[in-house]
Amino acid sequence: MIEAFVNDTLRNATPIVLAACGGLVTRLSGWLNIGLEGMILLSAFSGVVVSSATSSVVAGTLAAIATSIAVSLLIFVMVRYMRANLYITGIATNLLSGGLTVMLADLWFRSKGTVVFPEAPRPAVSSLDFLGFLNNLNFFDYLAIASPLLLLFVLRGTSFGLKLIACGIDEESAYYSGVNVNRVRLVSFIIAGVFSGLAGASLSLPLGLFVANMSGGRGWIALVAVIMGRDRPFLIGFSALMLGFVTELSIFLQVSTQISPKLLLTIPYFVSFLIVAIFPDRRAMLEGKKHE
Amino acid sequence: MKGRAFTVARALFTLAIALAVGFVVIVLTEEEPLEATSAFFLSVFTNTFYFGNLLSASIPLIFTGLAASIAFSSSSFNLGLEGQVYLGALTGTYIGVRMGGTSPLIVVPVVLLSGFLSGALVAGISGLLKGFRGVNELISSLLLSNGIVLVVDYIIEGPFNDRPSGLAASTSLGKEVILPRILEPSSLHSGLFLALITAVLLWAFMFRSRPGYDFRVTGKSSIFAYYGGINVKAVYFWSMFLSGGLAAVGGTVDVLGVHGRVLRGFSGGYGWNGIAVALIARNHPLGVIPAALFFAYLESGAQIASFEAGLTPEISRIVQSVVFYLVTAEAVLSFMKGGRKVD
Repeated sequence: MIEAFVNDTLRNATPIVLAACGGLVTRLSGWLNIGLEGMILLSAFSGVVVSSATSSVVAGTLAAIATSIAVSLLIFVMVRYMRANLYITGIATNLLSGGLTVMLADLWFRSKGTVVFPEAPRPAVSSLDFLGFLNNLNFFDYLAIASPLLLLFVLRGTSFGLKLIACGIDEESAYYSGVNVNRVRLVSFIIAGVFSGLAGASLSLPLGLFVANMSGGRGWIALVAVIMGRDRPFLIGFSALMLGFVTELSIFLQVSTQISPKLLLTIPYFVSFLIVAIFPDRRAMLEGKKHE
Repeated sequence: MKGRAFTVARALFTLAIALAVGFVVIVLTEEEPLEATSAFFLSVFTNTFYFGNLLSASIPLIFTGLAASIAFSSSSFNLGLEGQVYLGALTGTYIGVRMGGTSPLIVVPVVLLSGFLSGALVAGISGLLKGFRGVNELISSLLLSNGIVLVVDYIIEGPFNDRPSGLAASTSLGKEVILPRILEPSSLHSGLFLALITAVLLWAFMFRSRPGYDFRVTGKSSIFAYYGGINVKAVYFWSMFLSGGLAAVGGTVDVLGVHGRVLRGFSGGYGWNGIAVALIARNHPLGVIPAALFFAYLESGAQIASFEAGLTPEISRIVQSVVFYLVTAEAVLSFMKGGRKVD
């Protein structure tokens, strides 16, 4: 029972951890990408459609990543070359994904709610009988466990990581120190695309179906994890895990108690709200300090 | 080409591109594109019923547009408009139902005021957290709003449900408090005048009053405002407070004028559309009115085309997101001068 609960928590946290890693990279670069929610939704859709059409999980995953990167680059181009507002283009992406996925699902599969793909292959799951709580995890779950570690290495151990952090702290200083700020941000948006693509694929591929608005706020909750984790990959991974736990708790209580499911679904949002209220945004605090 | 003419030209250009994208999507996806296109773009003007409904749909958008514009022009991102509209509708309806039997002359103002306060307080929390704790108001207002939408759903399906009707809707307000209709049988109601008056009042507040000046200076540069002796934290709070309140009144007025009760999801999209409206209007309270009419035109067109020609109404969402992508892009017109096409 507890093993199953831990197991479900890990699986629930997977898309949040992955998206949070993407969010962190863009945030460190100084341009926080708030379009994660939409990128996850679009890639969940394209991932399961392609995996069903090609009968290949790998092709589906790659399609999800490609979709997400394309959308991330669209945001980047709009902000960098068309001088659009970063947050508004992020919102645009979230709106576009909601409308576009429902429209395409209706057009291609004649369903606006749930689209089931019976032929879509499911990713293989591990069977570790001696460690019950690590049982039944798939490729995405392991990737989510490894991602914070990978990110820590990139940030601490590579010159790209240092450049990334420099851009976020002060882009002018970074520029005069010879960092190509533009290219660093471009790369950070591509990385965010890869992570959100994986997050989207991890939602739709294991189920073999697509549901309208399947991302269900995970992109936003991932941003909460980024703020809560104070720019540290491990802390972010841990925060995302906790938020995954809260999400799992709301699902668990729906099954086991009589409390209205609608009220239980609010738990992740209100808990996230309390978290951002208690753990203020350090970066915003620094900005605030300038005029105090 | 600077100043007002430039602003208007750019707004029109953005809208033209968005409509062109909508047209292309219709042509690509519909079996009978001509019929769908004419239903989408022209049917609204064919009779007073459709046209009255268009004007009626613009009323909540004027309120949410004003709500977004006051927040944006004070450098606050209020992304919680959706929840604030819905909460305002519920609070107003609840108070109105509880006051049943009292004279409408008392009930209607009290309902509007209670709706205003509910949204204002919720948004005010985000403003306070921003000023005193450095909490990003964009995320805090959005999270609160997402939670509130679910809570309101719960209340109208549970404790405050109109059981005999079997609908996911709250108990109805008495007929006597419903705002008078204009252009019947369409749903246009006298709330339109309230929306127009609010827009003018907000313009006077922003451009002809001292607090409005403080708001605008803070919006341009909070550091400059701080050194100029403006209480920046108070501006963060009051701008969010007013913004949430205006959005909530949009929901309350829609209940008072059109539905007479809260229907599940009736306000879906009012908040996001309001943000787009404010952006097109460049946060100018009077510019919000034509921008809201444009968005009401899009929504009405999509709805009419969906039942006249089987068009997918989500097309309006796509057109709307194109507007979002382009509306803040400062480079839009320079592309036009260069003769390049922008998709």
